[in-house]
Amino acid sequence: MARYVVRRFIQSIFVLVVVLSLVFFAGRVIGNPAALILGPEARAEDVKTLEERFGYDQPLLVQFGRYARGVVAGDFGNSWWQRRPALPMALERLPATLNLAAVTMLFALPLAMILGSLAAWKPGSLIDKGVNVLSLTGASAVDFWVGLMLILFFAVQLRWLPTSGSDSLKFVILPALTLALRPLGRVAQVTRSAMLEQMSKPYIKTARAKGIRERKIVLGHALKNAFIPIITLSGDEAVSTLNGAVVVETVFAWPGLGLLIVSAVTNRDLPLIEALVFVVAILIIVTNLLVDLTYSYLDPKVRYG
Amino acid sequence: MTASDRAGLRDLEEPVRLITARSVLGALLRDRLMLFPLLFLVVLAVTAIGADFLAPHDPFDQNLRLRNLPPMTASASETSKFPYVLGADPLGRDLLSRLMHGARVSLAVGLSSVIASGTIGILLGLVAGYYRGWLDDIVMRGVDALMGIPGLLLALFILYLVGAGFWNLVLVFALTRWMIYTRVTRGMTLSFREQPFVEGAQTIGCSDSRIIFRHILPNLVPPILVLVTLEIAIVILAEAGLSFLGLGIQPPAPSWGRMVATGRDYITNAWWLITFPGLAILLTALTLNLMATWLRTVSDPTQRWRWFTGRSEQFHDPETEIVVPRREQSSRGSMDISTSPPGTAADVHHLLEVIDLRVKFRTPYGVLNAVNGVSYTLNRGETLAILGESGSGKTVSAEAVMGILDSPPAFVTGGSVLFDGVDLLLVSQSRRRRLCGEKIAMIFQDPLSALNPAYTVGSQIAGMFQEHRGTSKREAIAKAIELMERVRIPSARERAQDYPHQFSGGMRQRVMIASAIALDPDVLIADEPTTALDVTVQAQIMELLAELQVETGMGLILITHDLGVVADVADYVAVMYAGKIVESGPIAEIYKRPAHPYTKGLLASIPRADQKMEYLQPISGAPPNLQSIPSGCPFHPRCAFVVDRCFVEPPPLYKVRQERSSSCHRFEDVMHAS
Repeated sequence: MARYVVRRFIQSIFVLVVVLSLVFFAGRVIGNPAALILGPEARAEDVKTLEERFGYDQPLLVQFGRYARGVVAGDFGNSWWQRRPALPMALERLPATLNLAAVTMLFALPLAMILGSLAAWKPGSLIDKGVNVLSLTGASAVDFWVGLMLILFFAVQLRWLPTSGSDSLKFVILPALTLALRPLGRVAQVTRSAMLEQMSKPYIKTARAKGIRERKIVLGHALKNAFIPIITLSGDEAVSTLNGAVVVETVFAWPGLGLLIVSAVTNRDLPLIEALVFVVAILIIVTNLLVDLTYSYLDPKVRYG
Repeated sequence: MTASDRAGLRDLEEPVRLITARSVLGALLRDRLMLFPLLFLVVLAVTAIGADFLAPHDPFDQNLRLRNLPPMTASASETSKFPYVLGADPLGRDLLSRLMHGARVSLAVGLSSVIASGTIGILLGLVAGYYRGWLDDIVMRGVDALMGIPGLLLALFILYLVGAGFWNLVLVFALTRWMIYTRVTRGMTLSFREQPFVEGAQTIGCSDSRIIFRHILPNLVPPILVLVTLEIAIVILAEAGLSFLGLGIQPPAPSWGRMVATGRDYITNAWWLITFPGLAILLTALTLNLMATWLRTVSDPTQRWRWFTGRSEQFHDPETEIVVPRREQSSRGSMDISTSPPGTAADVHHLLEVIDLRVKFRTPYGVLNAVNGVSYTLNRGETLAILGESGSGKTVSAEAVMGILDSPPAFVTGGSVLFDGVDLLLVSQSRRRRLCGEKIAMIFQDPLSALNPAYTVGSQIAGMFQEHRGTSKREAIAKAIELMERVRIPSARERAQDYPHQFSGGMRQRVMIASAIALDPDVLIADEPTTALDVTVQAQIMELLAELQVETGMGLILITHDLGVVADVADYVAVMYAGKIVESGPIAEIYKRPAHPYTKGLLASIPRADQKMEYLQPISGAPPNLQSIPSGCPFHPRCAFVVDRCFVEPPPLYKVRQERSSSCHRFEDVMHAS
């Protein structure tokens, strides 16, 4: 088990190096950072001056060496847009996004698992149909629009909740609700099919023959085994909240990573983009590690090799 | 349902694997509600193509007098007499016309992107799946790596590099959405590669490209069609999101996402600006997702099976309407049920008495008559062996006694199960559940799958005490260890902490037995308890069961297809065929002189040490199709003793002598022949 974790950790470091290198070369070979920042109408000599100033005129490998040394020291250079170190800018935004994602998942996962289990318990029932509709809606939800409609209804019409910002707990409700729609549908659907699969296994028949209460069979026996696919998916969904966060944070002016990513791209701020890639990559790696750990804890076959 | 019953179901499935125009039309007739989404898509496509002619206004025509005009306000502009049905935007442009032109943009991005990403993905998947090796490794590594990255973030990075605009968006989606096609195509190519039609094409010397594109690709069409529909929805949603962020389609081109972004600034006073474009995106995505779900059910028979269990009422069979057990005897009242004469049922008090039990499986492909009137009795301390081939209904009848049938599709349609004089089919669910495990216990064929992989064996045995006796967890575990010792599991104390996968087959079955006898049940049903085990272990398990029976005095029902297993332990045998008991009686007598040709066949097909045998004789023919059981005697197509009468007249259970019965018109001749 410990060996497994160490191996995954070394793999993660390798992945991180590959991703950062790819972003570095793509940023300089496919794109021209100086030309991008100055825009299409820029004069050639202005581009050249800027290139010289930031060292983009030097051979790629020389640049890469400097970049690599910087990354090790946690220095991605200054953001062009804000003219201050890029990495701290990205790290400042991390708590807000983590906060939003945590509230979202804490709301979506338990609810989805309950709904999915109930749907699997009685296939064809009203709840089952509801889960189908929910997953269909989740897959079709236009997140930015749903967010705006929630604002229109709860903030503008009813004046129950604030439209945007992040000052108190009240502010997180609407963005988390918007963000939860997709994982809610997906996890409920997967819970349903995982539970249906488990409920058809022979050990369920054994449990029934033993006279175990139906509630205990569903929630104890079947759900514990169904947890394995559910946890795997939940990890994917947690990573995917970053997708949603980009849009939802923009809609609700939530000062997280997503909002900063949009600003970095609109301002063509390469150092900031590189720092953000670093932070996001680590976020994804940590999430996947957590999923792996939970997984091996839940599955005795993995735990005891 | 036993494995063979499932195999029977599979045979009945129609091979609807391809999405043809005919199958789609047929499915449309069945699910008429799907006409609405289909109609919506047609209208959307027509709008997108003909937006130039259909739109009431020029989508770029600004009219500052009409800024943020509310919907349904009749106000003609200079160029057109049409009212502004959905209102106007902040530049006074007609919202409806912009929506219609926006449909064109959305669909164009969606289709172009899906064509681009689909082509890349399918080609890579075909190549990786067909050639395998290092190529496959590289491609699939790439797929896994890219799928681990949040797609929108990757898209944003590419957009930073190449800039916004229509074709750049298509490029972005081509680069970020090909992986799913590769994964699906590769998986299916891998499986098709091993199929006879591909191997055949290879043997006759078809070129690789011909095999890939002529033989494999056409078979991939249905899943890819489903995938493409889903992906169009995803791309349209993503395009709307990017355009909303200002990084997708650039103004003044009308794009639904961009329109919502514009409306955002006027959210407090012009609700229609965000409402209508958002609804357009939502409805389009919803329709496409609905289509994809539906197409999947059209192309995949197993999905249709699920569709069916969702609304079983369509498959009602008038014959099986009565699900409540019937108390009255079978219409053929003349039959002499020797093991339990109908008249004496109430007088003689048996431990377990099954009378005319009937079970049917209702499937979308028809009704399977799994158990067709089974009767037997069991007394304390007795062992009854129920013998039969797979599919004869022996397991199903036992599960019906336990009340653990998978329902649907299985339903008890008649008969009674008297336990201590109480009809189990009539008592309440909760009372029945409490009897299970407490009074009647059951062990199963494959102890690995019958044990829960996520719990230690100790806790699985302890569960019996916790559930039925309310014992504390600690005490229950202590009792579980005692039981494990009783079924002779070595170092029980330590092993109680282990999980089922850490045990050997024989030890697992001992665990099952330990939990079954935990509460000293009156009846133990053992369903093929040794079939999945090694021959050497089989004898040990049977010995253990026999020993426990002597100790506790419980009644034991042994379900098996193996005469050899039961020979030493059983007192009585009931032989089942096509859901009926065809012969029953004391085991020694039946061994010596079978009174039914089927029993005779079974005995001739196993090696015996007590008789001189020249060769083993298999029973010719195949077990009956439970959907249409042969007329007359169900065994007549395979019977060596068949006479004309057997084709038409179903044989009753003739009383052969004391305690023996046989449902064969010629039982006397059969006995003489032995």
